[in-house]
Amino acid sequence: MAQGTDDQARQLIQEDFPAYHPWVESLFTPEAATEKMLFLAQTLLGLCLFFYCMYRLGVGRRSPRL
Amino acid sequence: MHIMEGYLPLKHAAVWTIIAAVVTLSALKDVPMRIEVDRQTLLKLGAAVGFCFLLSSLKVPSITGSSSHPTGIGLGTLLLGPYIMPIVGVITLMFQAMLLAHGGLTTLGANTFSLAIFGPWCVYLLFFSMQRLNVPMSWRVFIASSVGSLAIYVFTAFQLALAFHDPSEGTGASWLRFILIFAPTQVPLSLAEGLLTVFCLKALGKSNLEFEHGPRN
Repeated sequence: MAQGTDDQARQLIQEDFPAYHPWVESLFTPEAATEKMLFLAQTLLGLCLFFYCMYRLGVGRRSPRL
Repeated sequence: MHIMEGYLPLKHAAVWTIIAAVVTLSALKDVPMRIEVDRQTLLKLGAAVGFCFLLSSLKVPSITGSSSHPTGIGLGTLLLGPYIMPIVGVITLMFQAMLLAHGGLTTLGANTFSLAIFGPWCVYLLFFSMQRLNVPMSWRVFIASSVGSLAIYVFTAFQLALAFHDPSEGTGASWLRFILIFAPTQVPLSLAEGLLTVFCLKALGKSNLEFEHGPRN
């Protein structure tokens, strides 16, 4: 998997400012497999919420087009 | 665009948090009144949160070999206006900070400011500048959404540069280094996001646009 730009920015900070150390850590850092599942959950949650609201807002009904 | 947990010095994190909290609380106060005026506000808010959730969960490889994600902020801004968007941003960023260790609670303010305040206002201002120039609606939506999405990364680079710069080089040089990481990956993704926003708003129809009749007073 290609490296994320957020991680690249973090690397740049670590390289250019080695004296800086994060002063707080994440409360919960999921393992790789759990992280994938949680990202999937976010995608599904977003998908369901988005399509439900789009449907209720009247997608497909006759309305002036953009 | 997520600044990771602990990757902003305390003073910077505090300032961004205070600014973002003030704007978000004022947006929260505005919601009941907006619902009274437009009964569909909650549905639009749901669609905006859903779209933001969906797009920001997609880690997409770009042509540069690195990956990033679209922001999904353009659609919400055009449905609701920029005033309410901080709510959308906070919901999405909180979920990612608490469960995915993506972003963080100490950087929530900074991330909210770039994603849900600066980005939406860029979309809004661009959309109306182009309206004055009589740019066709679809082009307005496409350009405002694409540039707005990219602007979020431009601002994140600025936030990082403010916190991490060599005094002899200045903030500008540092900003350039950060933006050179974000921009090449983000440009194609922002263009794709612009197209998707046009498609979604076409499906919804013009009557759902917040700004169909011009800016809100």
